[in-house]
Amino acid sequence: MNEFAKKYQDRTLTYLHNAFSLGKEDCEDVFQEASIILYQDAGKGKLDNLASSLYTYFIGICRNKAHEQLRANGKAQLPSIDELSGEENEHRYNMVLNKADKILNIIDTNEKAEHERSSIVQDMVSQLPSPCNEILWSYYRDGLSMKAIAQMFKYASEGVAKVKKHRCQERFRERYEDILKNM
Amino acid sequence: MDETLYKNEERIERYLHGEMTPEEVAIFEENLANDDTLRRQAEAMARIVKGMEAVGGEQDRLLIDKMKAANGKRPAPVWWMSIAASLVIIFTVGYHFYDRSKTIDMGRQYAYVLPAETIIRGQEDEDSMNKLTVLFENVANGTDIDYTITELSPLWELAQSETYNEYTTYAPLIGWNLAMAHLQKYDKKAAKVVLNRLIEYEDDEESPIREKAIEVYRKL
Repeated sequence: MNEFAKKYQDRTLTYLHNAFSLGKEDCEDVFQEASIILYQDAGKGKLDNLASSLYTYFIGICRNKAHEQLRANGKAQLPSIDELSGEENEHRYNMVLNKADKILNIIDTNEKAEHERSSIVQDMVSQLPSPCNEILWSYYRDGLSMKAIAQMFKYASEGVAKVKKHRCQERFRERYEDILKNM
Repeated sequence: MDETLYKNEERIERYLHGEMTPEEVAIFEENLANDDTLRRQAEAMARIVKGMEAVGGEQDRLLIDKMKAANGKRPAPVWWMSIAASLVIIFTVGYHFYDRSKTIDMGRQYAYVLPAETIIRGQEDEDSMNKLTVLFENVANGTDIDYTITELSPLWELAQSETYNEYTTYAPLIGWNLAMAHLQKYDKKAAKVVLNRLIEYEDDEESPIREKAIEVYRKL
């Protein structure tokens, strides 16, 4: 739990503050409560067949807890939150995986090359520099919207986050193609 | 920013998220075969998706396994929490979790306080003594607790009966171990009932079991 909390605490608190307009203490309460639920759910085996990422699951708990906190604070008017339910997230993530497979099938590399390319990419995504590390993982693995990413990583707007993401993808592509050329 | 690259990226994302009409999908897939720039961008994005699924999936599984393992042993180590946050845990939803862990730990720690071998001296029926030894070891080791409670509960009743039987001598120890077993199952209510009866049963004020039973009862 420590490992997970250390990695995600700052970004989650920032997101809760920006997306739900919660105070620092409320954000910390939400994070603690969500951490305990996650830990208990793991013990109950609820995460054994998780289709989405662990953080997608966790941020879903945080959002529910944040709504509860808002209600407890007597805030009837909830801010506009860009979010999907757990089921919708899983469906969306499976869709992206299937379509990514389809693209790679259409491109059609041979089996050996496919294995090498997968291996290269796995190394690359493990060593992405910041902020690409945060943006690309949040978008592609955790299924967060660009609005949520902007709120989480303190970008001025969704548009700014989109531009950053585009640059990160292009840098990734250029580096990937360079590696392939030099093989 | 290159407009073509940016537009391609938006198209690929719409494709990945299933936001295209069937006609758009057909055109997109056809373009993948003919448009070199689109194909290279699509491959890079598809590989990011698949690479992150592989790497992230493995990382998540390891984390989940660690959480599950920690769940089975003791409460999650919470060094990263501030004192204030710990208080939040204690006084809000975390209280149950914290209390549960504390109670289970108490049941395990106190199970060692009165080791079975110091009290059972083998003067009674050997089968009964062997059976009790196994059950008490279960409590000390935190194993087969459900089974142990099922076995010890009727023996506790039998041991307290007015008619002398093979368990009478062991009544305090049976009661003590049953209470510790209930604590290990986080059944404080059942543990307190047993401890209360044990305190009444063992009326010698200098009895070590009585003294420990009072100590644990007060902590609960």
